Amino acid sequence: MQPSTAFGDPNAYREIFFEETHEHLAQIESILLRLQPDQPGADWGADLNAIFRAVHSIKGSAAMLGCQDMAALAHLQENLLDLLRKQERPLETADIEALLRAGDAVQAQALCHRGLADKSPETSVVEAMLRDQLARPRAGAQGATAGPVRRAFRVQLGPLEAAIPESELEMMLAGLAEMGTVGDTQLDNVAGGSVVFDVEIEGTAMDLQSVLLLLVAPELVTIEPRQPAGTGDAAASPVAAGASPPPLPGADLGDELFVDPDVFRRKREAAPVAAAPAATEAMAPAAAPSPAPASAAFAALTTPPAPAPVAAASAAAQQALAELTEPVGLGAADTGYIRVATEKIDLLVNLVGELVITEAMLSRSGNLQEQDAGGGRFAENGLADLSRHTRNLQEAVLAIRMLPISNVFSRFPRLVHELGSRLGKRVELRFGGESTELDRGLIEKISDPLTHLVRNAVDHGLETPEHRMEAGKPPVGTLRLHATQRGGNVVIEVSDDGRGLDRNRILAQAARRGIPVPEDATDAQVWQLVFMPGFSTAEQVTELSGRGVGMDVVRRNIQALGGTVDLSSAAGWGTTVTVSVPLTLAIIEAMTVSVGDAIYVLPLSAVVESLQVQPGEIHGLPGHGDTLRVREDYLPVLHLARLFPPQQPSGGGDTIAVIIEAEGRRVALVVDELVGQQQIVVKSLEANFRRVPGLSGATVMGDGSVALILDVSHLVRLCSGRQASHA
Amino acid sequence: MQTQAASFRNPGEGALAAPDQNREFLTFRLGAESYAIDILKVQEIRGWEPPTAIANSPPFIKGVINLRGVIVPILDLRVKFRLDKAEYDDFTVVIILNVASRVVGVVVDSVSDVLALPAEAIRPTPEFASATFDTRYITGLATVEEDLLILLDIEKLMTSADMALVDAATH
Repeated sequence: MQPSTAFGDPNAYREIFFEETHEHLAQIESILLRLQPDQPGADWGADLNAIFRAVHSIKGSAAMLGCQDMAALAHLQENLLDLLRKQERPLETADIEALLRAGDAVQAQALCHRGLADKSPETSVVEAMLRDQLARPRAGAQGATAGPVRRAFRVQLGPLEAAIPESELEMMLAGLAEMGTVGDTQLDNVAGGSVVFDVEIEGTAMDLQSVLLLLVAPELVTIEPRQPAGTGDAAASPVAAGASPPPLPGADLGDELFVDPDVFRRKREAAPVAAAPAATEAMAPAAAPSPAPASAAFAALTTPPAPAPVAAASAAAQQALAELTEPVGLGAADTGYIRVATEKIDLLVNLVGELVITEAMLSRSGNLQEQDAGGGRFAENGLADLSRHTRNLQEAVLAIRMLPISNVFSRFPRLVHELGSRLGKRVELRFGGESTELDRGLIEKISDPLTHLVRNAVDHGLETPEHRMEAGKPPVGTLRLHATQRGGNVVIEVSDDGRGLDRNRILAQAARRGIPVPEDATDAQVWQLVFMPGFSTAEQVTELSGRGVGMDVVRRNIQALGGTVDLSSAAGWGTTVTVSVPLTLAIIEAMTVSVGDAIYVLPLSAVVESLQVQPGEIHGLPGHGDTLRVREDYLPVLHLARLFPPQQPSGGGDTIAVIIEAEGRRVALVVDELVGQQQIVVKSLEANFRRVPGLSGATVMGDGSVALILDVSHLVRLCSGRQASHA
Repeated sequence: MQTQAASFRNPGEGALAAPDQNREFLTFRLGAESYAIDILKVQEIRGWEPPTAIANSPPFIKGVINLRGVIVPILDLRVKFRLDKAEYDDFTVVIILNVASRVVGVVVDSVSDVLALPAEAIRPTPEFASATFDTRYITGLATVEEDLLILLDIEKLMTSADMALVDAATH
């Protein structure tokens, strides 16, 4: 990213920088959590390179925007990552921990720069961790400049103008033999002849060359890298000797190569395919080798963090590195997603809402007219079109509001990682249906309850590895989060294979708290006790959960979204919590009913059926209140006119019973009339007024008047003391 | 229903009064008293339209209306403070307030001028300044053309518990 005030507002670049940094950090964290250092032979090259590029990007942008603290911390991370990606030593858990903490610190620094946090985080601990990791001993006795890897070369000295003094040649060969191995020597040490031998040393071609130059002039030296026994350097084609130190093909990642700018330019013009395979092998997800990137890759090997000795090469190399990383990409560029300001979307939704109302109005006035044939048909067609367009527009716009639930799930790997290590539990987190979408407004609101459920599962549900093995289970517990769309809802399951709910403990706790429980309560009924306020059977209140404020708050939060929470469990096997929330809150299909002069709205998804009822059909059963028999069931009856007395009640007579369902229970809601069915826009009652029990919101009808939306869950709960019973 | 914005200066102030010492107030009548509220809390002034009643509400909460897509509750201060003559006709005035991030409408007897009052014109509140409102909602008194104006802290009033607008828990 090259921000420049020449392009206008530098603050815009700051915003972009913070957004991108956030994404980089998320990606870094996600990769870090995936790495398992104790897996022998695993190839983390691709992953480490991806992290390195992300950190490098953050560093560069931070430096250019003046966020020097972020740049400095990123630089430290870069050094560690460079060391790791070059495999100078194996990856350790401590590396991952240090990098995770460093990521947190950079995030905190970014928040401070954005003005969202009061003070800059204390980074000395993180820096110490990084430095410790940097100081850990690396494979190979020599320092970085010498290169730790053992390399093989074929050396040709010649054609010689004159014989090399024997003693000097012998000394050199002996010296090389001490540093490594020398073999396959063909010593034609005469004028016009050549000295050819293979050598394997721990050192660079540079080192080798400097030794050889003691004997012969540079233009007589040819060094050709080859496949040494046991290591996997890519062979490059031989390089012709030039007038100056021969350009060295970029086979060696570990080298800090000195590149002469002339050589560099000459190399580029000669389009060396040679450099390509090695370079792209190094930059693992490979860009297709082609002349320009290849030489750029070659040059790229001299880019940061190595102190680039030649400014020209370095600048070109920087750019080359950028070019190379572009097509590889961090995934942000070509996923087909755009970021849209939420306010714009809300405005669009409002506009569409108004359109829906207009359509309703038009329909209404269209019905009222007794049209003459021509005009009537026109209005009919027009209305049909309008209806269709409106619906399409509505769907398209609502789709923008939808986000995949992976947005919520993505926080959990880190959380589970932290919790697991803190509690000494090993947890495998598995996701299903991450692409399931739900309303943007719900994403935030569902995150807290789900987080609590995840915490509960890790803290209380899953046992320690020892306990698990005693129970014959694998030591690593499984926590599964699965989301699907079912009807008008998104159903999310949080299941663990832990110890399950302990029925007896729950019953004991209920007894202690004086909560009455029926004699032969089913498991399902016992689990419901867990949702009572202050209920917890945890032996110890841990820092994380167990204070017993959890499940009832979770359920209340979910219900506030119009959703439900259910539990199922088997002792010793595990627990599953099922959360169900409506797909979208903004626009719903509704049934309008009336009591007296008042109109109320019911979400159609909660309506099972409606029946005409004569007053005599409603029976009052002792201890059960009013009930209505519907086929095989007696359902509790709720008179809407008694719950919400209208200002002008109706005269009585036949009424309608609307069978509504929520939380698995059905209730017969008695109203005066069914008015109609239409789509409505849900508007908040609480924004300016307050929460009214029994109402979940309001809407604007075709005549501009307000109609109140009934809270079906609340209505059902009002009847919950009265059990539905079978005929 | 139109209101006329008028600017008023205390006699003798003239050019010596710095503009930011004058706060502007909307004045209205409720029963026998005249009140002044901070004009910045007033969003608009409307005529009466029958709201949708919310059952089980206190009688002074008349219901909610649709104000350009937003659901706004309407409170009748005349009913709340048991003043007589609460009629709803073409002359009924509703002041739409914007207080504490909420949009709320209140019905009053009539609305008068918008006045600018310099700080010096505002006198402290004596014990029994208003027959209707508790002293804690009154920020001062002013006299304009022999009329006594009671300066009302409308935000404090509307967010108080007995206005039943705000849930006790969230207040």
